[in-house]
Amino acid sequence: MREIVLQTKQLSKRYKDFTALDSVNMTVCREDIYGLIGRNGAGKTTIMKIITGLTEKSGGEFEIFSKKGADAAKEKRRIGCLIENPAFFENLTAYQNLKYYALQKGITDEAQIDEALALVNLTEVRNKKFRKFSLGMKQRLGIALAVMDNPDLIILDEPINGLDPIGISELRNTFKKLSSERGVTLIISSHILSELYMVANRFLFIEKGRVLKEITKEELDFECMRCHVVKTDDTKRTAALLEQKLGITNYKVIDSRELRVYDENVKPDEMNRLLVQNDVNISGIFETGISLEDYFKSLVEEVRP
Amino acid sequence: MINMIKADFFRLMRSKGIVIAFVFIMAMIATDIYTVQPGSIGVHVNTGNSVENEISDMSYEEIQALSISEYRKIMLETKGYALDRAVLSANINLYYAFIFVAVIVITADFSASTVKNTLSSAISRNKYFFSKIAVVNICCLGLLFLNTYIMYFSNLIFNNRNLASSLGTVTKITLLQLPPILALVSVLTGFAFLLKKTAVFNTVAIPFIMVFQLLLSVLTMVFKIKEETLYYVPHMMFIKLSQNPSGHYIFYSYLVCAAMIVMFNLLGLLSFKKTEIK
Repeated sequence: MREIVLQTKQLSKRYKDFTALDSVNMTVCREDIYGLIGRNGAGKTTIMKIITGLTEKSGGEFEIFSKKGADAAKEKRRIGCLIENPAFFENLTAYQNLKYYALQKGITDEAQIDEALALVNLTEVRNKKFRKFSLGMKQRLGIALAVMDNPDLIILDEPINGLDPIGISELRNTFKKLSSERGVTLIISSHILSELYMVANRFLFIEKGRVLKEITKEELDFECMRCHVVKTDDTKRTAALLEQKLGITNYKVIDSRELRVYDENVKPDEMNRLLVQNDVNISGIFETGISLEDYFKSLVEEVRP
Repeated sequence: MINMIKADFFRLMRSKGIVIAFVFIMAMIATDIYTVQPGSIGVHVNTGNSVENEISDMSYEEIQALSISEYRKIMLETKGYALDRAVLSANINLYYAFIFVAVIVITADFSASTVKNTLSSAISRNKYFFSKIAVVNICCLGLLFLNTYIMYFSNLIFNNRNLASSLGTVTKITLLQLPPILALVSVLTGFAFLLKKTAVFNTVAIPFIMVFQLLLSVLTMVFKIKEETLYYVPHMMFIKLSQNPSGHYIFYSYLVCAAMIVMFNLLGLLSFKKTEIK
């Protein structure tokens, strides 16, 4: 069984008459990339703020690295985060800003600052003042701060806001690398569901402070049936070819004429070419299933009074 | 906490605010030294050492008609007048220099929302609060001693030697004034943690001393408050503590300062601990 990094039980937050979080239960395990999905004001940031101690909970409890209450607060050193907009001192350079926080955290090895800047491709502008940074650069500096102290848990609120497509792609790879190589656990919220889908392995759908569903990527794929359908008269041979030649193992034979491929990196034209070259009759290859957005909409519709 | 203090000094050394505070103090000293009277910038403080006391054979209209250079010439010839002691008795005006320090160290962190970076992963709220208090106090005490000695030596160099006290005397007065200085700093740190944003803090902190003095004079008139009672308000403490105070006065004035320090720091801490960080 995997180590539980964060667990909330009936976590609630109320502001006078407004309930921002209502009995939220969530479990994040080590090396998870945990996606928080919800509309504006759904409660994603509130969850992150409670966990990081920026606001107090009104009810319920949470455990970080199996520690509760005051002991949990001591574990904050193991968390790196970027919550809401990246905030830094305008008059300091990127390097000076990170140095300031490195001093606070007692980081003596300045190479860690350089490493964090390199990870988000800000090495060349390390001596540029923060006030002259573009939105994307500010966002990347925020991520650099979050990863600088080699934390065990990284919490990122809308980290891809303001990034260009290349930046988003690079960041996606960085997240995957942090999780797989360093064993870091990530909690990421985003409005861009398709992006979150590409990086996360578990998801929490939240609306108006209430959890709609906590689900793994496999379960989500199954529920959305997001896959490529291959219509053929020889599913056995098709499966063997896909496995041997393209290395596709994430598939399911539905019946004698249909096979579904769940591998996200699969290229339909490549499958088509392979099967034709090997004399397999194909009557069609197409993508099916509802989109993540539609799935989320359907969940929201279910709870709407 | 030590790391936090180190980090704040790293940032302070790269901030213009501390330079502005120093320039403000230098401007106060320069005008005080040139005009040979304290309080030329800031709150007017009647130290009992004004020219009216010294030039008794001149009428009020004649004194008012004097140019600054004529006034300076007369004052430089005055005997038994210690300008450095008079300037120290107007140290309430350092409050304005301390505002810069409170802004750079505390409210800038809230205004830029950088406080969330610190509180979310590095340090607890208590440690954050007390390290900020420590940094502000260290900086303000540094400015106080700089003010004392730069003023003392400037007076020796640019004015007549007979307007100067001994170095021991100005050091003693400065040390005696430490509690009211710390009380003033507490007022500012209390307001800074209560109000958080720089703009709001400045709106309250800048006119505070003047409004407080105005209110006090109104209350004194309305409720016929005894003059002795007024000796225990901060601006009077600076005057009294620079004029060979009695042990009784020192004890009670320090008691008032201690109460102010506890009250304003508690106000700041309680407010900060309940705040949601944005």
